[in-house]
Amino acid sequence: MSEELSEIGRAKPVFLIGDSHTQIFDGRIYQLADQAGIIAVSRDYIPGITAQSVSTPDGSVSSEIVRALKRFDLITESGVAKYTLLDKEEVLKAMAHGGAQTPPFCIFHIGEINVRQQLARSLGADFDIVLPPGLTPYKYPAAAEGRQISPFRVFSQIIETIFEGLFRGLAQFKRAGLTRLFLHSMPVPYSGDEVFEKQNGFALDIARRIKVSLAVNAFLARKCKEHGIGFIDIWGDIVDETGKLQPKFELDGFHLGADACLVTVKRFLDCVRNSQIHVTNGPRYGAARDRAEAPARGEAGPIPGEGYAVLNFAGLQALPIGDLIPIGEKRFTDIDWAYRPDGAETGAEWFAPSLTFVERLAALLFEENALLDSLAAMAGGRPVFYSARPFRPRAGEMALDDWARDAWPIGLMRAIAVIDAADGEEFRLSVGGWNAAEKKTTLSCPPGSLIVYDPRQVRLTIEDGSRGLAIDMHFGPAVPEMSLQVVWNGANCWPGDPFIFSLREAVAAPTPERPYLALLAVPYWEDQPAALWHQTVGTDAV
Amino acid sequence: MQSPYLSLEPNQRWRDAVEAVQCDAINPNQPSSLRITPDTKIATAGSCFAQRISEALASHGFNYLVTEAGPPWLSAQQKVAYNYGTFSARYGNIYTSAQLLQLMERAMHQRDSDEPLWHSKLGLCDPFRPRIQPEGFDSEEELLADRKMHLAAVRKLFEELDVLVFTLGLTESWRIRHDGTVLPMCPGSGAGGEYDPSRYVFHNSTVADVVSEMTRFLDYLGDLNPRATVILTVSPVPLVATMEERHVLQSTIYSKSVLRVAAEEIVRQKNNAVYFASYETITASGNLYFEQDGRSVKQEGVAHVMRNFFATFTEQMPALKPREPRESAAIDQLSTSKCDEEALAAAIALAHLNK
Repeated sequence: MSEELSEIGRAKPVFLIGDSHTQIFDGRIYQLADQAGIIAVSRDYIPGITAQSVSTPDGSVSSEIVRALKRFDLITESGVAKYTLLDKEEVLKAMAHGGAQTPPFCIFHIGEINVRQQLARSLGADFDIVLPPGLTPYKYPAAAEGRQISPFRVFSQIIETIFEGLFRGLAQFKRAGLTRLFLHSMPVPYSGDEVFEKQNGFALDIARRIKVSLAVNAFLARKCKEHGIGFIDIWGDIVDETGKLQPKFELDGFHLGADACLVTVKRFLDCVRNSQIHVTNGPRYGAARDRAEAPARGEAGPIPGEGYAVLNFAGLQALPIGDLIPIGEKRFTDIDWAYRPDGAETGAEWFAPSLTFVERLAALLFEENALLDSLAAMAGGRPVFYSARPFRPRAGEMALDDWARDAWPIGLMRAIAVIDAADGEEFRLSVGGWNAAEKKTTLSCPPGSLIVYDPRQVRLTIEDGSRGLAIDMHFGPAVPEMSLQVVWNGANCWPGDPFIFSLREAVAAPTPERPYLALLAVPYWEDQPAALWHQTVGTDAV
Repeated sequence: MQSPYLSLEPNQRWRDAVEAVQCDAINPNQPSSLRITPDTKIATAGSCFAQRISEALASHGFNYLVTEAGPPWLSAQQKVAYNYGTFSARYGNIYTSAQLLQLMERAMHQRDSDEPLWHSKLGLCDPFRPRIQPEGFDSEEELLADRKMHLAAVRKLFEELDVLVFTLGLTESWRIRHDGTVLPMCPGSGAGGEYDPSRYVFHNSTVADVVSEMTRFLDYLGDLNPRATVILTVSPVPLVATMEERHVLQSTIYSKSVLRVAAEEIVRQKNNAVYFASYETITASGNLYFEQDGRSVKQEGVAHVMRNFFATFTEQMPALKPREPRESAAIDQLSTSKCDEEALAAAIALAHLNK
């Protein structure tokens, strides 16, 4: 052996499946800043794949995509995401070859053929669309003289029909356990009109091609949000101030080049890091928001004790910053909540300590300290305990808002319970506004403190030097008629991975006996009661 | 010298043309010199009743001219919802002669209005066709672009049509005080806009108004398209409500009377207009052709009107169908009252029998 060889580490795989726009990603590897990790893109090009072909109305999923997912070793023969299995052999295999041990990152790049061959073609020589305001900051040419305007809402309905199969399919993949799905935006058209006509067999000017793509991207963004799918939109990064593609991102007159791939990965990381925890319960928040905003429309508002008021602690001074609610003297001093697998034993015992922790946490906060009663008094309605993320902050490490800082919904309360502080010190939190430079105050929190705040108004970060154990909690709106999916945001296993595991489903409405009933998970698979939605396998505990 | 009444044609005599004819066979129209062939480009405009005529023309395979057909990929349901093909262009209901004239002027860039766009619960509306889209428009830009294309389609329509069927619907309208712009609906009446008495004013047209407006429209059309002919009809549909301080029935009769008289004057004056008696066809049957609300015309009524339309303007004239004897006798029993008009009718009948 004449050459020195060293390993640079194991790359975090990102799987890309789709049309010809995936090909440029082949074999690309990206190094995160500060040596924080390596990302390797594995792609599977499916020639001619369209949005409709992803899933048919009878529920058949594209065999080509299934083949790709199997090729990536992400699903079993029966179509279940492999990482969800507690089967010892599967787990060991996964750990050995670096396969997914947590939900894999899957990006789909599908739909461009529909944009070009169906939607753009449908405008033909005679029709145009006018994009609604706010959809794009760029001013594209107005409709040409002589062309009829197709109502944008009707055009949107056509888009919805065309992309129905794609979202039906993505929902099926999520049900199979592939919960971390992303959809790539439609690329910026840039070929000249003559080239386009030659390639596609019909004429359509660049302005209308761009408008169609933007309309589709707006639709995809909305649908992705509804479905809890990350939308990787690189449009704004690769066009110039007039909205045209910057030449450096061009490749062959049609596809985007390697520089655009880098932008895609950056946007993907942003998307992962900004994962919005409420997505899991999106419909619940929609219902709660609707109720909370009802009085402004002159309709009946939330029913006390059932619905949820619009919270604005900071604005209303309901809980003046600096106030701490004592939650008692009980501490968690003996919990090894973030279980690190050790040795060859695999199985339910991996997550058992974490479940134990949840149960004890619930008992402490809700039964001994009547936490929900306190919050209900503040909020004007009884909330549901939604998620908890224990953390042991260390100086310079993760702030509370490293992820999920955007789009906090109306009616979400966030609270931090300080359980313990190192060496009898106080736990210090910095209170600021959403402008990072704006600092309001510092909270010194002795063990047993509870800080409740409105995350839409106030931002809390951990001050350097604070050490201890705290629990970051979210209290969601009570929407009794809708089921609650509990997401326990545990330790992070990789940058931007807040979903260390979650419980598939739980009962939404708390009962007098179990005011925190949301914590009691309903098993996802009836025949596998011990199975969890995600696993804490091979992660770096905080 | 023999009374001229004695040489009347059967269709000029009530007994022969109405009393002796089964309701659904009455045709109050004279055969017209205007002939409509499968090649004739027919357009429609007017009130709700004109929509029914549009449907019938389209379904009978006539060359129903539509210059604003909408994207071809729209479903039939979407086309209906977005008013594509409801009329020959997407102008919505045109209830008055003033509206029709104004549409021509706007299409020919000879008239503009400072009326702001209307906002409704559903979205942004075009005050000149506030219900043209079920959810309004998404933006001012879309509305204005669509309006521009729409007026171009109207211009094309007027340039290309051979026959325009126009149904006169109402005399009551709302106008902008300072420039007389006519609106299809009173602002604030459920389709957007906000009623402001200092800006909008109610107007109830007279015969002179209607004649003047229609004459100007016909002159415009004649200049633009010399081969075009307008078939004028009066909608039989009563007013939903009246702004006049009187019973709605009084206003309905006033409105229909004005429109009928105006139509008569117009066709006497203008070579490019003919009259088609749809109002008479529907009302001759009493309430037979009206739904229980007394306003909506039943499908049978529309079918009757269209049979008459085809008989009048096409080669397929259906034969008169005699009434059943029992029905005729019953009607004879009812016709016992005597008045000057009826006396005259009886004299005519007697003279006819003695011939």
